[in-house]
Amino acid sequence: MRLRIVKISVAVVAFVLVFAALQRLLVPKYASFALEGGLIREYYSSSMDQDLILIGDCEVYANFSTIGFWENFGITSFIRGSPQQLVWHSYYLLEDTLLHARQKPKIVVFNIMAMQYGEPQFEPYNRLTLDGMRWSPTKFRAIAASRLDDESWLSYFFPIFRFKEHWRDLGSDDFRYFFRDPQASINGFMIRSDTMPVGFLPQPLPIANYRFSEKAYYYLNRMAELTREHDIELVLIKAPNLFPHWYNQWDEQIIEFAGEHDLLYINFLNYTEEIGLDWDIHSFNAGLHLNVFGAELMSMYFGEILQERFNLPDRRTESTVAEQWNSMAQQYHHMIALQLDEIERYGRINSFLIG
Amino acid sequence: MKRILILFLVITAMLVIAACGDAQGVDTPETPGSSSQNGEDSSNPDTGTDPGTPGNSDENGNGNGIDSNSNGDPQIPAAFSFTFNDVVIAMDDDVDYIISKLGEPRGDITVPSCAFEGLNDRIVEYPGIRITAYPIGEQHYIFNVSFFDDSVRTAEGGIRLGATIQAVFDAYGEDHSYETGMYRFARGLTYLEFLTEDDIVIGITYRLDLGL
Repeated sequence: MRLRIVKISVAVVAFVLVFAALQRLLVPKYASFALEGGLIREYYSSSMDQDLILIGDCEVYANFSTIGFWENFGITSFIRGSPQQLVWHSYYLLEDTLLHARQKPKIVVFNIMAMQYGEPQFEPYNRLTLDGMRWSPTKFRAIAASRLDDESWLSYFFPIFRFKEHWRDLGSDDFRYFFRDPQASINGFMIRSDTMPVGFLPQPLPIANYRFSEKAYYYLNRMAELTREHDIELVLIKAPNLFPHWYNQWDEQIIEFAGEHDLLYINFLNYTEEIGLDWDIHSFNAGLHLNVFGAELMSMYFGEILQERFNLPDRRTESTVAEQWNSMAQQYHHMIALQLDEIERYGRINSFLIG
Repeated sequence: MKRILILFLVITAMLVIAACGDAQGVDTPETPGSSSQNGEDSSNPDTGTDPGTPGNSDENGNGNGIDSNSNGDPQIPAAFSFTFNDVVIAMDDDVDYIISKLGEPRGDITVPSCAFEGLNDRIVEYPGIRITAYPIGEQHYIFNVSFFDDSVRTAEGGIRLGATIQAVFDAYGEDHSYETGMYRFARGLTYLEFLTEDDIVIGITYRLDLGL
């Protein structure tokens, strides 16, 4: 009898191990395509303090240099952003951040571009945001809020069921990053040193309904409540990206919301000249995102506002913190130099991963 | 012992291969327009056309057969199409073919997408209209055409921006759906949408139903 129990136990353990190993092998590593898929996960491996958390879609992870905040103002920051991160994603990532943060952030910045969406949009973007979250009741609720009708719960618990077809094109990345995850960002900021000037900008068209949805407002309200409960300043921003178009009717609603909740709202589209943005040199994809040089300007401009208005501490005098951040800054500058060298040699960037 | 282990390994393999039939392909998302609605043939611009329908001759690269279902009335085309500078533009036409007919556009951009390659829509503008196309492989196929100003008009009824909604009804009938100012007429897998403000048309869009 005892031997039988031992045999069954060993078999169960073997099954779990094989299943886990297969799952690890087959889920995307986001090392050579869709690198943004690893951004949410990277937060958990950070051992640094963060006074400032930026939350939102690509308009945060591409547009604000975390090292820019550090080197100019001594502000410690992390960006919790992912592609097409919708408002409910962002709310639950805020919950998740407060759950796992080494210290409570002093300021949370939310980029409001995603307010235009009232419903989940596209399964692959859901996966980029949700798969990287650590399991907790928060992740469970995030999936419930985000899941499209044809997405199965099981595939979130066991991503192998979502990515099972990947066995057909397993590549070296799947083995190289079997035991460790690639690092694609510097505290959530993705470095792009290349330039693609803004050429032609499509003319905006009228849309049927400019009113943000109840669902978007619901989660924005919850974000405001959660930050208030934790005595954290919430700042709303619209990054200065030229495309997709940000309608005045949308802007008015955010101004109204910020006024009602006594929040600072900055639409950086109104300040591109003061910031010093030149769309011929500061975007890597024709105005959709800023490159690293544009992102440094953004951090310079925004960091000053944050420090003056909210008295964020300059932590460059704290030796342990400074040591960590300066080491990170070295990686950052090394990556920029490497990318610039590749652009000069090959006309394009080949290196995107920090580690 | 070995038998039990083998049994579990087999179960694992079966789970991996067979379970969760609703899961999508590999890591790369399905491209809009390449879904089952448009069928596999959609990637082949040389197949599946209906030469009898305006704007869908074999040569224009329309490959999805969107107009193959007759609506039963020979007087009414099975899909909406639009004529601009004497060139018939139908939904799902190859945008490069249309450009070759219309000439150099005033603007042409392949809009970058976040994270995923292959989701990059292309926007082409001529005076008065914007054409948006979705990608399949290297090619882009038209999924909507919108009007900017009153210099252009719809193929039937000659509706322009600034027209009254009554003129729209006179031209297209009353069979439409409505939501927050938008009147939508359907033919096959295509729509013609009139956005209104105070019963005046402020936006006109021809659209392919991509099922998104």
